[in-house]
Amino acid sequence: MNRLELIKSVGDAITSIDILLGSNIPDNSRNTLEFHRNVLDSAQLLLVKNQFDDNTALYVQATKELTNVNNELAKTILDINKLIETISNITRFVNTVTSLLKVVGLIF
Amino acid sequence: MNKIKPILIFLVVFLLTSSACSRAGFDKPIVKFQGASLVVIESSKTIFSELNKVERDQYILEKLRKREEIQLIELEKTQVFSREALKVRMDALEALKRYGELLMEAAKSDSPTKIKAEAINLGEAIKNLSSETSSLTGVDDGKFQSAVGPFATIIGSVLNLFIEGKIQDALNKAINEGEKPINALIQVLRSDMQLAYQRRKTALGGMRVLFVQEYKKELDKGNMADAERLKLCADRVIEHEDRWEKLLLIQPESGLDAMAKAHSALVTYANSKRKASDFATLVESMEIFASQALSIGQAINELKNL
Repeated sequence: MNRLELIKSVGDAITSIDILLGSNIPDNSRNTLEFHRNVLDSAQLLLVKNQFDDNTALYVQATKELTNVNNELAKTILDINKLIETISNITRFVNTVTSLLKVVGLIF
Repeated sequence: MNKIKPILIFLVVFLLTSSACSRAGFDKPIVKFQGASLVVIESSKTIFSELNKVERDQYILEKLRKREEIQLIELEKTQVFSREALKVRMDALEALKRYGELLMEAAKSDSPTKIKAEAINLGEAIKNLSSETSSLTGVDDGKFQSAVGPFATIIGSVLNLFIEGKIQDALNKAINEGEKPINALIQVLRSDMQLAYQRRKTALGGMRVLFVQEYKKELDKGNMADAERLKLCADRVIEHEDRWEKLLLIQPESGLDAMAKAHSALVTYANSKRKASDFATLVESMEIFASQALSIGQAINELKNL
């Protein structure tokens, strides 16, 4: 997963969150999702504004984890009955993206 | 990637050899290619020019949604490219467009004076582009700077040959040496354009939520809900969902992909026996390119005024 693919992947997760935010979900879930959306939005902007090495072993490993989480997320995202599982996957996704930003030196 | 060489081969073939078709007949695919390329490049310029606006608008709408203060210091931080960085990218697109037009002119024009005048003007523009690019300091400008340097050097020497009236030498040099730096520059611009598209998608996604929430807020008033206001909110959702759908169908790089296909058609023609049937295929390919470019251009323009 190169830089552009990572940026697209973060964008796809944001789109998924938006679908949930535009649906009838409990307030506590909404607050959590809004928080995650803001984190991912800021992360995507950072990734767009900055160049970094997307060939290091650490980066490749981190993006593999992201792909796994993304696959899990895709299974539940549009099923409102699996909201808790979806939010859990989104949280994992956000944590993995945050780790990636550390790996490439964009946050500390 | 081999985007530029085929067209140059085609132009030289056209310039130096006779063919089954009349000169006037050749004008049609050339003009089609020129027009379609213009649309693709103008669309690219639109995407770049909208990039910072998308970020600003997203920040402001987020503040509105949260009922928070707007702070210019925060707003400035959202901008992806500095104004200078945006300007040189648009200048580079303009230079690519004018360079293509000059080569087309060289292939079909009987007026060396006109070619010389345009080469002088374009040479000045490229010197300015090179100078302004070298002064950029943004973290995302390194690749762009690396691409502009060789482009300016090689194209500058091609333009000098045009100015000296050595049109054939200029075209030969453009074929042999121009391909690599031009492709490198196009690739960097293409990459930047894809990033811009991703941020636009994020911004428009956020607006989807905003419009749906505005509708819900009115709806939640129950019997006190204003019917006209509710209808207005619903209309906004409809309008925005149409935009969203259009955005998802657009791939900004598809314009350049269409251009690449047109180049392939040109090289196929150049390598053919240039019979009437080959020419017909070429004309058809240019028609398709023109149609695709028009469609992409219209779609991007529709998304412009949000």
